[in-house]
Amino acid sequence: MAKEIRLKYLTDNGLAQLKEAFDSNIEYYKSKDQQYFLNYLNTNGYLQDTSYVIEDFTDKLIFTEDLDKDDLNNIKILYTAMKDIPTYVMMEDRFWAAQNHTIMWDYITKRSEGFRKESKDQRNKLYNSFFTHTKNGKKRGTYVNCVSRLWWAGKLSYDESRENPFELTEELCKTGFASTIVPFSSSNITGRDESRKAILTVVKELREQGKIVKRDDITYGLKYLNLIAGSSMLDVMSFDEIVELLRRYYGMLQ
Amino acid sequence: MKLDKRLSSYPILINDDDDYVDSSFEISLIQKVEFNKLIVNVSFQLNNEGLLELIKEGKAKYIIHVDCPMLSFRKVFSTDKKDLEFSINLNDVTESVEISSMIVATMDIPHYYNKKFNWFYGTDGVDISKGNYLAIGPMYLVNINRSNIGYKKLSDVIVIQKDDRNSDQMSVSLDNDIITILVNEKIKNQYYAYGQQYLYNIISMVMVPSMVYVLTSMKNNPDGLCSYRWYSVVEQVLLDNNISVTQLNEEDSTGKYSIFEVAQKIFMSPLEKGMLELSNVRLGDE
Repeated sequence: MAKEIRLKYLTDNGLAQLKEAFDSNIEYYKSKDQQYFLNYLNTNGYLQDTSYVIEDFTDKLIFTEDLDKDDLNNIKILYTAMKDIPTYVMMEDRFWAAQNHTIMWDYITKRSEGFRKESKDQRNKLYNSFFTHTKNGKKRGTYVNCVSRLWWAGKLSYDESRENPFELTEELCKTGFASTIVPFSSSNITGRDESRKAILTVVKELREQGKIVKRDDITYGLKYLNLIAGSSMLDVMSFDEIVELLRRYYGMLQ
Repeated sequence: MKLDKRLSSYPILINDDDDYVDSSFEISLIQKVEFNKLIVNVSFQLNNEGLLELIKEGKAKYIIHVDCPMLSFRKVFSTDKKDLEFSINLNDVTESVEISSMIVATMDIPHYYNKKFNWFYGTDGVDISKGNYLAIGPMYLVNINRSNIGYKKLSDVIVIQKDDRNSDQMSVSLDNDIITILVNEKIKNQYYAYGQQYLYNIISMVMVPSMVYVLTSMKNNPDGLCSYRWYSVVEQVLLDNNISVTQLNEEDSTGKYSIFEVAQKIFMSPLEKGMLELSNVRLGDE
């Protein structure tokens, strides 16, 4: 039987301490000294149990040179394991920062750009790898963090009604999902399932027709839907009607 | 969902607007929480015969739009009846949910004319497309409080904590729902020991400078910080005093919008009272 794990969360105080101490702790992060953080958090009682017990998925996460393929796999693995946790918890920094210092530590040290290469803004990259609520706001930070974005990419594209529920996730990952989901975070109309799934469905159709759909093309489609929503109520349109609108729009672009 | 009527070239019924005369569109709303579900009962009150007729003919519908942008949750409920009940799973939304009401055309309506159009729209009628807004009603913000924290007063959103780094300087953490001021353990103990006796001194030394940082950060990065709950509490304190975040200025040390002055006023200008505390001590010594 698969091993189960009980997920942890950070207390408010524990989270504030970690964030404020980030700069003085940065060498522990750079040297990947997880034990330091576990000792510190446990000694002070900052890590607490949640009521969520899930299957341990961490050994199924993969890391190769093909980032798009890895991301797709990892979205599927993480989202499947955590999809029953309430959505509001998934916008909590206390939840993600706890996972990032515990079960997702290895993932971050292998996947995060902050660890992959030295750069001028390495400090911010490392910070954004461990925390989801940043000075850029809750939602944007959560869509940027390399762990929480896996869950949100799954949430935005998972479609139970399809034979392969991750069919639309595959489209997201073809253009580098990390930057593709950011415009989804700032566009309110994509909050509605029908609109979001319509655009990914049309992108899939176009690709099946042999057309190359880049990230910008998806952003243009979102802008077009925003334009429609400005003059009439996009939200009363059915999935099929929005698909039809987008087919016409992309048809005109070809 | 905030709708911008300026984009429309045809009349839309909105209370306190003059596209229509002698007409109104209101809703009343009753909400309750049962078994982790928010159940909402809406009753539409439309006073305009032309629009009532369109709804009866199936050319328009009442719409309730539920939005929680933070969690990308957006749902639409529609009806041609005067009452509507719907429910939302509380797991899908954060602390606040926007509930908007409107009437929307369900098909194209050529040459739509309403007897209550304001005279400047003439009598030729206007072409309405499917999905166009015909009336926009009030928007409600429903708050769901999961924790016991009120997030209402300033004291709900500022907390002083021991800094595990034991730094000699205090620091302020803003990217959480609560403003956390970190001071070293010794200072924190003294804060509790002398908090009552030297309240205004402590406010002057700790709270006022922290508030200068808070207000400066709000002024410089409103888009980034506005999603944190402390932000709306501080914003409300400012609004109660007729100050908006955009009006705050960092350059001047005095003036209604000066951050330096506002930070002191938020804590009721503690300096003089602080001095009094010190002179009382001196008197006590003698």
